[in-house]
This record gives sequence, C-alpha cells and structure tokens, in this order.
Amino acid sequence: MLDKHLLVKLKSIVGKEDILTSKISREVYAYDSSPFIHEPEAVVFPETTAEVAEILKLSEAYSIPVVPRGAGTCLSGGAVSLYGGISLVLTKMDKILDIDTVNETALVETGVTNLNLQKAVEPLGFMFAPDPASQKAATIGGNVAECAGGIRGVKYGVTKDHVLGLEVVLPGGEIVTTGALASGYGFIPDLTGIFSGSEGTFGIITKILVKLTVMPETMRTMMAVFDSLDKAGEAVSAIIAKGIVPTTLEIMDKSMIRAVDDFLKLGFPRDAEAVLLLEVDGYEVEIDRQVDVIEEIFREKKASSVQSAKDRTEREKLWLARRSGNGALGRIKPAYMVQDITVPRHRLPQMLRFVSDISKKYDITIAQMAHAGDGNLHPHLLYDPDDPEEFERVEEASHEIFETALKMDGTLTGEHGIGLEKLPFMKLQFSEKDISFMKRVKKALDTNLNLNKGKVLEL
Amino acid sequence: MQIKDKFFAENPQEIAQKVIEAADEGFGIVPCGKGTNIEKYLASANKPVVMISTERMDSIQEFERDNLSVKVQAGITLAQLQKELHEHDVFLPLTVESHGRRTIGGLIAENEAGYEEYAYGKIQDYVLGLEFVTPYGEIVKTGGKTVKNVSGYDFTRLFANSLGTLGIITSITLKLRPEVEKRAAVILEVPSLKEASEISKKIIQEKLVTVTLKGYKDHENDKWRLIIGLAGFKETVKHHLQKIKKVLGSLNYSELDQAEVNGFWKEYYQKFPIYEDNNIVGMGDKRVLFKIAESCEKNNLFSQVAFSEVDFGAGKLIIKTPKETKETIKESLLAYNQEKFNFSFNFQKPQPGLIYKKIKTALDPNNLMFPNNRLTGGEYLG
Amino acid sequence: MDNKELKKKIRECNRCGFCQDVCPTYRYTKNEAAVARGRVRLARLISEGKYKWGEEDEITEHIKTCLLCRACVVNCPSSVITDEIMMKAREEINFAKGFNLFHKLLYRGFLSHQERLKVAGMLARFYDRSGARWIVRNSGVLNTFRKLKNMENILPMGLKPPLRSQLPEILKQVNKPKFRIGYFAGCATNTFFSDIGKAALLYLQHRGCQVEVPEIQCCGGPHKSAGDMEEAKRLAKENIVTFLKGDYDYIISDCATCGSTLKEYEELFKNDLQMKEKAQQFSEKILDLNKFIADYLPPDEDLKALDKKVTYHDPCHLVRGLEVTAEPRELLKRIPGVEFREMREADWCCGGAGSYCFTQQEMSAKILEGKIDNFIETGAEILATSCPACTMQLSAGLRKKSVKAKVKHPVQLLAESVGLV
Ligand SMILES: Cc1cc2nc3c(=O)[nH]c(=O)nc-3n(C[C@H](O)[C@H](O)[C@H](O)COP(=O)(O)OP(=O)(O)OC[C@H]3O[C@@H](n4cnc5c(N)ncnc54)[C@H](O)[C@@H]3O)c2cc1C
Ligand code: SF4
Ligand code: SF4
Repeated sequence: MLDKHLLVKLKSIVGKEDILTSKISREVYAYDSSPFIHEPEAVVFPETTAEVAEILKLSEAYSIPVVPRGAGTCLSGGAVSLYGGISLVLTKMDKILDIDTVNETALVETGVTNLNLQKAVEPLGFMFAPDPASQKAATIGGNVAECAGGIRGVKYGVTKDHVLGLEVVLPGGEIVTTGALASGYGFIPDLTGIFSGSEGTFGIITKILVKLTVMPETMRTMMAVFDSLDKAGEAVSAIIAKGIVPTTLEIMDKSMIRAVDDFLKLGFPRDAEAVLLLEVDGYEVEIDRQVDVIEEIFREKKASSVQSAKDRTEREKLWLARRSGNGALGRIKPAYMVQDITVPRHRLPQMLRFVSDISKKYDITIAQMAHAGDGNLHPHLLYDPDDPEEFERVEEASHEIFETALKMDGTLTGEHGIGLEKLPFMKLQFSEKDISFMKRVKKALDTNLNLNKGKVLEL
Repeated sequence: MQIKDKFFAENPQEIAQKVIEAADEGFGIVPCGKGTNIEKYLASANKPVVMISTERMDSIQEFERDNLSVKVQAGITLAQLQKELHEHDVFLPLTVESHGRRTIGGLIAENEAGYEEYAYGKIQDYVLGLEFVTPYGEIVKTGGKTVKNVSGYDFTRLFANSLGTLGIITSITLKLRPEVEKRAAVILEVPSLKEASEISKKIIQEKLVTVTLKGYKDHENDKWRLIIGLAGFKETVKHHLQKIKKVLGSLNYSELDQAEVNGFWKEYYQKFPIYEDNNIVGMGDKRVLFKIAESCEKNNLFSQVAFSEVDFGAGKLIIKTPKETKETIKESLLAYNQEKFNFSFNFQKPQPGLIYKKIKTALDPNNLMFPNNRLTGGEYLG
Repeated sequence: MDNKELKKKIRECNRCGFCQDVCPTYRYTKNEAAVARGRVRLARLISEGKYKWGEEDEITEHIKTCLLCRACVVNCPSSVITDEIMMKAREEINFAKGFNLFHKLLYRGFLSHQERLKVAGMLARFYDRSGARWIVRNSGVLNTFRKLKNMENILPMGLKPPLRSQLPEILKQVNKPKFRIGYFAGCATNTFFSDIGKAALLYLQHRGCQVEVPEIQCCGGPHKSAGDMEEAKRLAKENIVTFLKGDYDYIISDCATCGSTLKEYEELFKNDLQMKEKAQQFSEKILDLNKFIADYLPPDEDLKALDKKVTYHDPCHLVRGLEVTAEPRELLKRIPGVEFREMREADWCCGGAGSYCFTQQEMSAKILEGKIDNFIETGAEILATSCPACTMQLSAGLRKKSVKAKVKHPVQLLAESVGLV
C-alpha cells in the first residue's frame, strides 16, 4: 500500500472519486491484453493536464513508480504495473477539443478512443488513418505510445505518420509541447517522433494534434484464394512492384482459414493454402483500372478463385473471415501466443514459409495471418496452458522466429511493442551501444526512472 | 573562430575516431555535407572547431525496389539519388529543383521539404532507419528497413531539424513511393492575394489530388500568381483539372503538362533562391496564414519586398526583403501571431524546448556538437 | 452451467477489452471492474480459488451492477457469454449468502404471485388517483426506504384497470381466423400497461387472428437475472403446461423480456428429460408481436395518416435476445405521415433492465439520462419501444427531464392509425 500522506495528497489532487485503492480495484487494473499481471497500489484517474503534472511531481517526491494507461489493450504488457505504484488511467481525459478542416487536423485529449475520433471526423469527410483492430477501445494516447498500425497502413502508414504535435507531461511534472503545438514549430527539432512507440516511458501524453486524412471517394474489396502460400506471397510482391498501393493487404494461411471456416461455415475450398484479402481506395474515375490490374496479377499468379465485393454487405462478409480469426482459434487450442515480427516486404513469402516449417519442426500448430502489405506477420502459436511441455516448444519456436526475422533485416515487433514480453530479445536486435544510447535518452527525460520502469529497457 | 581541421570521412569508423579525438581536445565538432554554407556561421564560434564532412560517403548501399526502400550514405546528394531512383520508377518526394545539390544528411538535419510538401510532407516522414555517430563517438543504429517497427525507441526523427547538434548521421534508410502516373498544374494571375487565398480555400475543400498550392509574387512583376499542382492517376488528374476550372470560373489560367511543370520549378528556384539570410520565414496554422496574407496586402506590406511566397497548402510564408526593411516587416507580421489557435504560426528565432535541452545535455554535456548555431548558441544551453 | 463449464467459459475471455466500447456501465463509471472484461476477470479469480463467492462485497457489487444487456456478448470477438456467467455468479452468491430481503419481497413475494401483483397494481392505482402519491412524495415518508422511493418515481402514472379485467370487452370471436394465437399477457403489460395489450389484441383481431389470453405465471425472467433458477423453473413449467393445452399456432408477447425468456425455456430444461421436449415445442411457437405482424400478416391497407415524428428504442431482450430490430422500424415506417428518425445508440440498454432500476438506482439513472439525451437529440415526439419494462423506465426518464413526449409500442400506433383506439 502507498504511504498514507501520499494518498491524502493524491486525493487532494484528483478528488476522492478519481482514486481507487481497494484490493479488488487493484485486481482489475493488474492486467492489459497481454498475459502479464502485476497489481498497482493505487489507480488514479486524472481529468486534466494540470492534475497529471501534480501527480508526477508527487511521484518524483515520493519515488513512486507511475504507469500510464489508456484502454489497457496493450499486447506486450506495457500497461501493467510491474513495480506497483500508481496506475495512471487516462480514460477520463476523453474530449475532442477541436476539429479543424482548413489545416485538416484534430486536437484530442489522450483518452479519446480511436473509434470515437473516427466517428467525429467522418461526417466531415475525413478519417484518422491509423485504424488498429483494437480501435473500439484503444485510446489515441495509447496508439501514439505504441505507434499503432492498422489495416489501412499499407497506403496510409502508421500512427507516427499522423501525429503533428503533442502536449506531454515529463516525469518531473513539467508540461511541454512538441511539434506543431510547440512555439517554434518548423524551426526547432521536432521531438514528437521520439514519443511515438515510447511505451509510456518518456512522459505522459495528454493532448495530441493529429493529421486527418481525406476519406477516399470509393473503395473496392477483393479476396483471392491460392493453393500455395508462396503464390500468395508472390502476388503481394507483384502488386507492390506494379506501383499499386492498396489500402489493405492481408494474408491468412491454411490453419487460420480452416479454423475460421469451421467456425463460420464460409465455404472456403479445403485445399486453400492461403487467402489474400485486398482493398484499394481512391477516386471513382481511377479505381476500376486499379482493380483490373490487380485481378490480372491474381490470374498470373494462379489464384484458384477471386471474389469482389459488390456492396457493403458483401464487403462485410469478406472481412468477417479476417476479423473472426483470433476468436475462432479458440476452437483448436485454448490459448495462443501471437508474434509481431516484421520483415522487408520482399522477404514476406520467405518468412511465411519459414514459419510454416517451424511449426512442423516443433510439432505445434501455428496459424498465420499477416499485414502482408507491410511485411508484418502475426503468427499465432497455439498451445494448451495445461501442457507446460508444449508451451516450452512454443517459446523455442518463437525464439527461432525472432532470430530469422532479424536475419532478414526485419524487426522483433511491428506494432505491439517490446513491453515486458520481448525485453529479453532486445539484445538480439540491438548492439550494446544502441541500447546504451536508448538508456541515455531515457535517463535524460526520466532521471529517477519512475515512469513505466522495466518496459522497453532493462534498467 | 578557428577551423582546426576539415576532415573528409570515408566511413563511420573514421568519423567516430575523429569525434573522440576532437572531444579530447575540447574542440567543437561541426558535421557538414559540402559545408559550403556553413563556414560563415562559424565566424562567431566560441571555441575552435573541427569540421567533419560526409561528402565522400556518397554511395547507395542497398536499393530494394520491391520493398520500396533505399539505404544511402549521408553524403549522397539528392540529385544523385533521385536520378538513380527515377530509372526504377520510384521517387523520394523531395523535389530536386530546390535542393538538388544538398546531401541527404544535410536535408535531414534541416528537415527539408519540396514544393510538393502539401501532399508529401517533409523528409523526416521518409526516414525508416538511421545510423549515426554520437557525440561520444559511438556508432548507433535506430529503426531499420521495415515500414512498421516499434522495437526499442524510435530515434529516426530525432535528427530532423537537429542542425547537426545531436550527432553525425552516417547512413539513412529511406521509404520510397512508386512514381506517380501523371503531373499537371494550373497557373494563373490573380487580381490580389486575397483572391489567391479565397481560391486556395476552395481548392482545399474540393479534396483533390493537389500537391502544390502556392501564391507568389516577384518585384519585377507586381502581380500575384497562384500555382496549383496535381499528381496522381491520369484519369484523376484530368478530372480534377476540370474541377479546378470550375472553381476558377471566368479567371484566365494556363495549364502545364508534366514537362512544363518541371521546367517551371527549375526556373522558379533559379529566380528565387529560398535560402537567404534576409528571408523571413514563417510556418504553422494555415488559418493564421490566410489572415496574415490578407492583412499584409491590405497594409501594402508586400510592395517593399523582393519576393514572397505564400504556401497555402503547407502553411508556410517566405518573404525576401532588403535588410533595411526586414525588422519592420517582421514586427508587423508578429502582430498577427497573437491569434489564439491550437497551434501557432512562428516567425521568431525560436528557443528549442525543454525536451531538446534535456536530451542535448545528456547526449553532449560539453556542448561540442555545432556549438554556436541557432539551437546551441547564445544563452540557451547555458 | 456447472462449475467446470463456468471455468471454461470464463477462460474464453482473452482480455481484448473491446467490450469497453459497448458496455453502458463502463461508459458511466470508466471503471474496469464495471465492464465485461473486469467482471469476467473477477469471476475468474473466484473460479480459480483466489476468492470465494459472496466473500468480497466489492466483487458481489460489480457482478450485480451488470445490466445483463448482452451488448458485450454480441460484440465480443471470442463470443464470451458474460451475461450467463454473471447469472451463474449471482446464483452462486445467492447460494452462499441467501437472498436479501428486497429480493424476497419483490421476486418471491410479488412477481411470483399474480394475485399479489394484482393487489399491488390496485394499491398503486389507488395511490395514484387518491392523491396519496402527492402526499407521500412530499412528506418524505418514502425517503426512509430509498429503494422504494425510486420505485415510486418509476411506477407509471395514470394507471388503467388491468388488462385481464378488460378482456371480456376486448376479446371476440373472429370469422375464419388466419391464425390461432395464444397471447402471453405478461405481468407488466397486465398490471401497468393494459393499453399496450389492448391495442395489440384489438389489432390482431382486426387482422383476422383468433386470440386467447390464458391465465399465466410470471415468465421467470426477473428471477433468472437475479440468479433464482429454482423459482424460474417452477414458473416456466406452469406456463408450458398452460399454453401447450391451448394448441395455438403461435404464442405472442408484446414484452421483449417475456418473449426472450419464453424462447429460452428450451435451454432452461435442456437437462430435464421430462420437460425437455415440451419446452422445445413451447419455445418454437414464441414470436415477438412486431415480428409476427411484419412477417406473418399481410400488409395493412387501411392505415390512416398519423403526422408524428417517431424514433425507436431497441429493448435489449429484443435486439440481442430475439434478434428483432428491423421489424418494429418497418411497422412504424408503414404508417403514412410518420417521420421516422433513427436515434443514436438506439440499441443501448435504457438502464431499466428488469428490476435493475430499483436495485441499482444510481447507475440506472445515469444510463437513463444518456438515453433521454439521445432521444431529445432526434427531435421526435414519440419514443416507440417494445417492452413494458423499457416503457416504464423511459417514461420515468422523460418525466424527470420534463420532456413532453410519449412512449408507445409500435402496435399502439398501428391500432391508432387503423382507428381501433
Ligand atoms: C485484439 C487486439 C487487437 C489489436 N490490434 C492492433 C492493431 O491492429 N495494431 C496495433 O498497432 N495494435 C493492436 N493492438 C494493440 C493495442 O491495442 C495498441 O497498442 C493500442 O494502441 C493500445 O492502446 P491503449 O489505449 O489500449 O493503450 P494501453 O494498452 O493502455 O497502453 C499501451 C502503452 O502505452 C502507454 N500509454 C498509454 N497512454 C499513454 C499516454 N497518454 N502517455 C504515455 N504513455 C501512454 C502505456 O503505458 C503502455 O505502455 C491490438 C490489441 C488487441 C487486444
Ligand atoms: S470483448 Fe469479450 S474477450 Fe474481449 S475482453 Fe470483453 S469479454 Fe473478454
Ligand atoms: S451485459 Fe451489458 S452491462 Fe453487463 S458487462 Fe455486458 S455490456 Fe456491460
């Protein structure tokens, strides 16, 4: 439990409604969407930047660890309170402060959910391009802190490509602004970038100025079935090489397709080894020609069937398979570990193949889906939590997958973050000097290491 | 001021070595590309400096077209790189006309953009990975080759606009775009700047494949012109030209095809070199820019200047003025900066913020890197 | 659901957090303990032995504040059945701690006994008409019983005689009937909203259906949500016997809660060899009133214009229970002159949730307020819905905010448009 004086002070900052300390409340803030569980000692809900600043000053004074938290959908353990202390839940800072159609920007508080921002800008003909699968719950602050990617990423990029400026509270309680929100924008180093993917270890993001993207006039959704993973992978490369930039390019392998098909009875061919789900968007006048080129490539690469959605309902149907993936896997095994390695796009077929081979080598089921257009793979390694020996094989297989991705000039994680989960593997990707540089910057901003200590770096 | 040495490095190891040596002597370290512009800045340096040039590190290290990425050494010039990319039907959306002779490292250090900034942003948006030498002489990598990467901290944008004060960039992996199918532009003389800003607002609302939206004026010809650039699929460009015509109504305009667009910009940047000390540059909130543009015109401010450009797309203002009038013009411009908007429009020689200060102090405690430029000079780092 | 099954179902939650977007209790608390993910997590801690049922009041509280609205269930990528887990949890807590007094009074005392409910209805009527309402409210007598006070705010005003007493005037013989209908006149319709029942019966007869209204028991819905399975089964058995005796083509209910509960009798007796088949026969015949009118009866030809702006609130038990959403809207749009305006979050729970509005007053009030705000935003003058419990809650909400608008069942508008009422 936290020091009594500290609790009294916290209460005087946020009010007693906005602080929870009971045993049971700590239980429900001990987790995020990852398997890691660590209880905070107090859960605090600030409602303003000033409150955040006061809390961080206290944390410095009392040397109390603070872990910022949005919706708690992090997959790598970023939002759990490894060292107890304060879980700083930012979901009550959820106002959209401004939508500006001249500059094509929106200013939001950190706790606004991705979906609510989408809903607010849509009527004006805009979208916030990053659309992680978790958008219903995940907050914009969490998106920035993890540099979330989304389905539309192939064409529109990741969160950092859509953040223009931030208001941040540094660990000492100083309120600062970056990028377009800072005075001096355009003439001084824009430090917005270092907060993207910082996993809550540099400062607490309180406001975000995001770039809005014009909603495309129209979009087409297609699904192609292949009888080999290689052909599907090659089709992806061919599309990129042709200079077409699809909005979305998703791939699913046999295990995934079968699981989904058993679940939803969509009638996929049983010999389907891979399914490509593709979307292109753009202006009415240009879209048909893009579709033609893509269909041509699918034919060239010997797709066994190609389907195009005629309307919204059909589109939904094509997407259903992709979206039901995770849930459907529960039918094969009760649990899975999902990896997030990313390789240069032309290495994708090779990496997909490698993962299939690994599943044979370790005699485990790996269901694959991938944001193929970004080279981002999500192999789901299935296991039974009651079978520790199988879990061990899953861990070994993961390790080998990491090593191979890195050999291909890839990276450990494309969008889920290092968090606690991949901490032990940092050394595989980075040299000692790289890591010591990271530490130097971390300590420059958080000298006493109170902010989300133990994530990203071992300190 | 003393320039102790100008060292032309061949590889990162040499740079690391040189940095360590210079630091031991307590010399300042000034990274440069060609360094042609830099020497004059060093006039007021408070300590002897060693210049380290990456000019000779000018090779393309890995070009992976199917990944739409290229890895280059910091000293390659933009023109050199674009030429190579052009042959493979891809491009880095930073236009050669304005920055051709500058090195990629230098362009990152100043976070430059081209005349299509409205659509394509700045060079920082294209950096996937970096290798650099720290002020302690370590060679460090950040980012990589993939478009998605959240492994460890992301310092790929740390160096944008750092003006050589945080380290020396040695190699860069850049994200590329497939070449666009067609470019075209519409150019017209407008009766007043107000007109240009009205048209621009309408064009923005139309949501077209606009890549450039600039008003400009030179002293030879006392008329404002507006250029609207388009880039995209050929059907779309054609269709959007129609839409622009509708917006323009009865105004006279001329249409430029792809070759003419290139020619236009070449001439433009020959006439109006944008890097000059006496330029007043402002950027930020477009709503402020629209207001400034209109009020300046009303107060006849632009009549005294040699050249001005108002980038309605990117939110930028450049005024080239004789030294004598610079301060008065700036004064009157600053008056418009009081507008309370979410983000600011800036002219001043700004002070870098607290985060920069903290990081700079940790990375370079003795303030050796480029010790007297606008970030590190003066009282600021104390 | 046995304990092993419960444990398995609980484990299906992979903590993705998507339920935060749709859970009404989370919206108003922003508390992780008040969303499916947190509630299921707490149930898990118990099922894995860290705590015991009923031992931690805070856990019990969070389990009880669940509306059982199923919004999380239908949106959950892993199809976690939070509502059933919560009902099971409540059953376990009841088992461990026994029922509280309020529960006993309300459920086993009133709702289980039609006679007593009738008396309650009469009392309420007397109380409403005699001016006692005014005296009681102002003298603060009810303040001593906080829960009862809220009940008095929610109980409808201007009660008519119960439906059952009006039946002799309403029911008539129909020539060559198209369908033989057994009408399930649930407790709330009978006691508090006889107008809805009356409109329904008149309209069905007008459309050529022979209707009977058998004497029934409470459907058992409230008992189920409170975790009182034993009583729920007892009531169900009686209803099944009654209705099967009538050999109707369809059994129709105007109440979403009754309808979905009746439909689930089959599930309730799935392990009861004796009742299983009968329950199945019974449940197959259950239809929601809107659905029956929209899909089984020929389109109306004699509708007269009603110039009204109308919107519709989806009762949880209809939209996610019986999965009826398009039909009531279609009926409303059929009426000439009606301008239908969709309401934001029309399918969000109104906070009534059976007896929730009495047992969890604060939360219920917040949710209701959000609902009414969305209604006001539409600018409609009629708030249509298909559940007496929602009707009660929504009317109370409108009264509280002094909104001049009426809550009606679509069938009331149809009947009005045909000139039956
Ligand atoms: C089913 C599912 C699907 C997912 N799909 C995707 C996907 O498609 N793409 C993707 O990129 N991710 C995905 N994720 C991961 C996750 O949703 C994202 O990382 C998301 O951005 C996290 O947002 P959050 O609000 O939940 O943040 P949290 O989980 O609460 O926090 C994430 C990290 O950010 C920090 N943080 C949060 N808010 C702040 C703040 N204001 N200031 C500083 N630090 C802060 C926390 O300390 C933590 O380290 C998915 C997760 C799940 C469960
Ligand atoms: S949506 Fe379902 S799986 Fe996800 S947290 Fe909620 S209950 Fe669990
Ligand atoms: S049933 Fe309703 S109130 Fe209960 S957890 Fe699910 S969404 Fe929330």
